[in-house]
Amino acid sequence: MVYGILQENDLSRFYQLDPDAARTADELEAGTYDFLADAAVKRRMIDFSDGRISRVTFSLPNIHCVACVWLLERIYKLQEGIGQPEVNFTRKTVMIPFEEEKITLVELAGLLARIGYPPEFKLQQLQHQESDGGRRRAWMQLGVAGFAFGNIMLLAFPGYLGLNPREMPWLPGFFGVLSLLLSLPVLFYSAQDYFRSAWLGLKHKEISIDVPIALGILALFFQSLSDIVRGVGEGYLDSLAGLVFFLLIGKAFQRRSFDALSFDREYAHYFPLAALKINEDGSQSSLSLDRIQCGDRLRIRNGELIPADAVLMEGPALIDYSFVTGESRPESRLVGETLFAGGRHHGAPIDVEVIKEVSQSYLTSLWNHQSFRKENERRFDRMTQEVARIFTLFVLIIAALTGVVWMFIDPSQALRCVSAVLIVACPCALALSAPFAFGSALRILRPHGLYLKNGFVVEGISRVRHLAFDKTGTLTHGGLGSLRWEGRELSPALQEELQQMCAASTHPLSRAIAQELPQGKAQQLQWQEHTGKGLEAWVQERHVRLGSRNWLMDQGLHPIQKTHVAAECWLALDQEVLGRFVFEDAPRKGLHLALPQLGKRYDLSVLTGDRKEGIERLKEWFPGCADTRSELSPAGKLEAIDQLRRDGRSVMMLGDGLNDAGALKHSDVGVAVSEDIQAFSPACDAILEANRISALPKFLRFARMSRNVVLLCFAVSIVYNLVGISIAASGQLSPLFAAILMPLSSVSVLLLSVSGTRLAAQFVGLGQQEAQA
Amino acid sequence: MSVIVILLLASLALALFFLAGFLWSVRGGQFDDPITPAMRILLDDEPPSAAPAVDPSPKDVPE
Repeated sequence: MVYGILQENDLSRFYQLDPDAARTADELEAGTYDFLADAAVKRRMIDFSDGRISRVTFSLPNIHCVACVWLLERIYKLQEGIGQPEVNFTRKTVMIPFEEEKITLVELAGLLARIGYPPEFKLQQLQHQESDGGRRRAWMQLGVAGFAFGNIMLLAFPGYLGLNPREMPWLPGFFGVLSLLLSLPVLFYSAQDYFRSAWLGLKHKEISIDVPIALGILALFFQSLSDIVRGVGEGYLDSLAGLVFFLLIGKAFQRRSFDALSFDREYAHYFPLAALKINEDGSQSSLSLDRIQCGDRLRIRNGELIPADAVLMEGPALIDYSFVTGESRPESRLVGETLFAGGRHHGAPIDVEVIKEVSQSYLTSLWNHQSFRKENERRFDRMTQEVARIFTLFVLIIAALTGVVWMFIDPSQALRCVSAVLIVACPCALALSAPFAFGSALRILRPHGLYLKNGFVVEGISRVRHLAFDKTGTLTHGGLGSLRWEGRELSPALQEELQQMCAASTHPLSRAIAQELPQGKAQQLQWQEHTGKGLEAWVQERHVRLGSRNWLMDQGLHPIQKTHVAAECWLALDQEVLGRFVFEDAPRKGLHLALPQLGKRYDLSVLTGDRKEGIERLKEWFPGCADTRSELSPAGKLEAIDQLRRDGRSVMMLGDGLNDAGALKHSDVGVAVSEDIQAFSPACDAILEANRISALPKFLRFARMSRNVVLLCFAVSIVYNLVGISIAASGQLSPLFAAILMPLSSVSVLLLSVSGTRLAAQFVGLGQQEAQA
Repeated sequence: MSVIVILLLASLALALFFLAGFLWSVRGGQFDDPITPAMRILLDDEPPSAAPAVDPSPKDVPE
């Protein structure tokens, strides 16, 4: 279908750009995007409009390669009224200008879906992210600091090399004033964040690493100011600009760059923007979620979320509550039963009548529950903070002592020496080591499928003593589990027919079977779906039936009684039962090796919402795992985590579903395990690709080693400081010495931290080659 | 020797010019997305219609 559209419009070069780019699009149900016609929704979606041309930004999770960019930026060829679009690859968004008279928002969304990029709409998307402003400001601060650093250094050089002042006695003064002017934007613009954060910290009676930095910058500036005004020297302004420049580079390095991932999601992110309402006269209209009221009748189509608690009016419904409970086996519901918000419906459209508004639904109220709400302030940069506190106190004491001692020796030198101590003690190297080490750790981990919220999460991970796992979706494959065929061997032709038959159905079991079987040539197929029972088809005069055991028995067939399994699907050809497809939980690859390895160093727990039987199988797979708790509600998991933490253990929680969200939030480090990192993850500190979970022992070991690298850097920078302080306290700190020592200490610590983490990565087997393998 | 002052002012003016250029590009959003433009530049212009694009083999064609 996609190819057809592209061919017609002469865009078939798409397939030349990337042979793997071939896209398929599911059949689009009419009216999927009708809610975009709603004035309130539309107003929130459109970024800008001048009455004729409007601009809209869609989020398209399917963007994945160069060809996508190429195609999306040429969609103006597909339909009149579309302007030149602009793709942002990192954020997976496209900004499209369009003329509302020629094409509506609904048509535009439909067009994107038809070419294989269905836009994603989420309730919270409407609050636009600030990110651009902050990032631009950071770039400008860095640029200004770099500019000032370079030029002040140029002006300082003649002084260091012995400028002859006899010829032009006014020259040093001129240079000094010029450097002073250049340093002002550094002080007031580039460095302002340090002053602000130091001041905030002091207000909360907290000594952060920014306090000595701010003190050092001020001491540098005022010492230089007095030197230049009195004409006794050229000051330390080059050190000041250099210091700020290096600090800002450290910040830029640490800034994370996964825009498409979000670590701070809330329940509202998972809900759609609008639902389809059935009016009393039978007509349909779309209604944005916040305006749904009790008594409204909604139509839920295949694959849609139920937005609010409701009673099923027309069914039957097949609901999978994996969002809420993590248990993804769909459950059937009959007319008259209550459906809870958050369930996903599979199969033919159903009608429901809302009994609670969205904000009062079971799931929402769970989310607003006290314990979920409670902000759990986590500080990952604890190590840096502790060192900074001790360091600051130490520096202040030395400075005070220096002042007192010099008062007795030579009072005229006292102030100068105090400020020299503050200048040289400025913990630039100290402040840089953790961001650089953890920042490069973050970069190393990314290609291995572990995405961290920020570098300091590495420190959090290195302190973990206890690991808690969710079962379904984390230790085992999510969804229905793995599929196995039991029975007589199937001929390739029959497999292809089955595939075609199952692909046409919307039932999750048939979908799963269709994915496993080989895809063949499409052929004439007469088929029928019996909802809740099975599929039946006639292919080349043969009668194929695939469905539940009871259904086949009702038709006079006799499937053999076999052991009970999680889910099964029997197959009959004419009057003969061939066997069954079995769905069962299976542990993820490599875990049987990884878990015992983890068990040696960490305490392990499994927290699951599953029934007890599931746990028994788990014990067979992982004999070492002693602490298993089953039938836990989301609040129960959270309570279990709190219990462990009260015992003084640092807990890392790995989970996948919304039911783990509370536990993830309350643990020391919450890791969301996700099959598709773009799509779905609760609020967390890190996102782990599900198939990389077996590398967990390596990740943990690497985190511990990174922490040691930081400690080493701390030691080195403290040695630098001791040398510097002892010189400063004796009153011998010259501007030249400061200009050499300060960048030297910063750069050497920087190199040490980055190369140290790289070496550690090689050592534990997380190098670049392994990432590609 | 006073030529040093002229040189100095000239170099400062040049540096200021570059700084202004940098700030202008940041404000203009050129640093917002460091990845997509790098991909865009690798995409050729449309091939002339005289040489039509080769069709992919039918089995790559999605339905």
